[in-house]
Amino acid sequence: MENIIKIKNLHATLQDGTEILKGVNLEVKAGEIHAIMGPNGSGKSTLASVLAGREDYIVTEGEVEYMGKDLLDLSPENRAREGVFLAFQYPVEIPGVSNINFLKTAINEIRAYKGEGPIAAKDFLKMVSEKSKLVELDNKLKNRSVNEGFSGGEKKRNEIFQMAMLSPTLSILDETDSGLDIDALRIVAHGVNTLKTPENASIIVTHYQRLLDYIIPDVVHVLWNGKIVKSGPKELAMELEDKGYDWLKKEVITE
Amino acid sequence: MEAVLSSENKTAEFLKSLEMTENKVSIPELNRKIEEAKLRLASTPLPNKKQEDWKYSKIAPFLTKNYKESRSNDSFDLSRFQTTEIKSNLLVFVNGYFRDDLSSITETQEGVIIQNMTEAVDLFKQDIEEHFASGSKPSFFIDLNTVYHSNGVFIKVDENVIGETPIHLLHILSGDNTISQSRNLILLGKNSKLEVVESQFEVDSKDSLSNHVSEYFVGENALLNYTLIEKGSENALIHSNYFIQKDFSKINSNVFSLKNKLIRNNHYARIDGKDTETRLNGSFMPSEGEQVDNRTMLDHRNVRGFSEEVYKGILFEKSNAVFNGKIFVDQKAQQTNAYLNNSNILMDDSSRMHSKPELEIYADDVKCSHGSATGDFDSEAQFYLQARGIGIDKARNMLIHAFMDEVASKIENSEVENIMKGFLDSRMIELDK
Repeated sequence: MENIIKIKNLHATLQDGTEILKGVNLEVKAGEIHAIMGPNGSGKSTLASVLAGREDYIVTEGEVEYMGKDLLDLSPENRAREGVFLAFQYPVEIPGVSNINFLKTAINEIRAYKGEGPIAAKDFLKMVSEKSKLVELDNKLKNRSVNEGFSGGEKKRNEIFQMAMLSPTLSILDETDSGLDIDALRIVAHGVNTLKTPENASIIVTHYQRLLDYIIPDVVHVLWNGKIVKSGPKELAMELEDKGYDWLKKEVITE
Repeated sequence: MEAVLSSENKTAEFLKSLEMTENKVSIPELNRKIEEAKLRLASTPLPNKKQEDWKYSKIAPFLTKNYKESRSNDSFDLSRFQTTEIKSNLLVFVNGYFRDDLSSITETQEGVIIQNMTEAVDLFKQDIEEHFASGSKPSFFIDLNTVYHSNGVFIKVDENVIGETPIHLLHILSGDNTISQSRNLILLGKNSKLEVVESQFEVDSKDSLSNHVSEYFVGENALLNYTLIEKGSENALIHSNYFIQKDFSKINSNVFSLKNKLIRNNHYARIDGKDTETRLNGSFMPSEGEQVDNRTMLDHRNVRGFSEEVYKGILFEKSNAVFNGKIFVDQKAQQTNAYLNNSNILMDDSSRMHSKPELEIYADDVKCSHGSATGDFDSEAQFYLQARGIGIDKARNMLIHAFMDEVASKIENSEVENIMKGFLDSRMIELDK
């Protein structure tokens, strides 16, 4: 199977020099879903942010190969245009920019990058109506300002709606399950499962095993203290749920 | 020891340096007001930063120049100003003087009188006697204008007349060390309606000062829509509007301070009537050491007044801006509903924003709220847009527009709105390099 992303010995620090990622290695192939679990402060969200190109972090060592390209060399917008999608843990409210206008601009910017002309209004609207059904997004939310006044669940569903609209090659879901009730969780998981194809891949960052009841990962990784300390099949998630992260910490220390 | 000039003496010195003629007209009552203003002016200290009114803007450098009146006969390519694309009756003033040859009043309408102030003094003696300088509040620049104004426009909309064509007052400042002072009087009769657009530009001008004053008397159940576009470059502009409202009247004022060395807006609504609506909104975007100083006053003097005020600013590179908005609610003004908000974005650390919303309330049954927020550009929102494939320049542009377009979207006339948004767009692209 083709590699979507290959992360080698990735080290990243905060602006003040504090090292958060201390040598992450990870390979995700087309058609796969990988879950990254770990206790608070282990570096899960940092990994997601670094992959998306957030400027708050500095990569000090290592490399990331995405679809044969050097990902770290690309600007955040070019990563998105190349098919990397980050579903935010805290989606940003943008008053004054309508959800629809925002998406249309995004799609056209991506198309322009690929040398294609702007999307026809008819096709765009058709796509909006199809994809919003997938996450049961209320019609009126589409015309509202991006995430403004949305509930926690609506914001997360809006992230998956955007993911559906942009059909990325690699989706990174950063704690998408946090703050979701069971219905919203089901809707979000249904969206992600429906969007899965043999050509794309997902990295799901989560603290709890809960989301993995609905989205079945191919591989589960445990990130702790800036490194992946254990990888295994989906059963690993259940083991973590039963025994807690302390069990693993002990095991890692003993090793 | 060197003698230190007292501030009154500085005023005398400044007035002496002006090459201007005092106004004298055929109406005794008017001359009395002009004489009064002249006396008052002589004993008014020259504006300086020790005064509360001028604490945050540096006016002093603009009061050391030898200004002169300058009646220009130059012709100008008006199309460069873009606002001339607005379908309107166009009145052009160059350095404060009405220019018949550049103006075009093509859409005449019964009951809508548009007259050069100099001629109106004879023709509409009674109206002018009654209203001139009765809406404005004395201050240095108001009195300076009253004594030395060049001319201006007199507009009168009769009772029950709906003004079909907007009136566009276009000011051009031209030449160096020029002082431009127009004085306008606008009367809206009962049940009438009028739209006024005012725009201000410069052509090859520096070290100059504009000091325009307008008084709007908005009659019972009348509606005034007003837009001001300030697009200068190298000079100081003092702009004062006084809106006097009668029962059931409405005014919508939208002010855009795009560029100049110093812009000072004194916009004052005196709400004499009951059941009124007053909206004062503004956008400003100073850059590179420029100053914008907005002073507004909503003076509620009668019952059931509704007022809303939204001022938004974006500050670039070492600029300085002031928002001082006051809501005054008289004891008689029960059931006043007033809302005031000022929000600002500082694009870098070198700019200063002074925001001071004020409420002074003497009635006990009112609903008033005010808010002010000044913050940095939202880089998290920028990253969010980038993470969806939107390029950094476009992302910044979208966010700035989202913030600034709010006020422009309040303009009712879509032609004016579009031109205004175009101005905002090009100004933002120019600034956000």
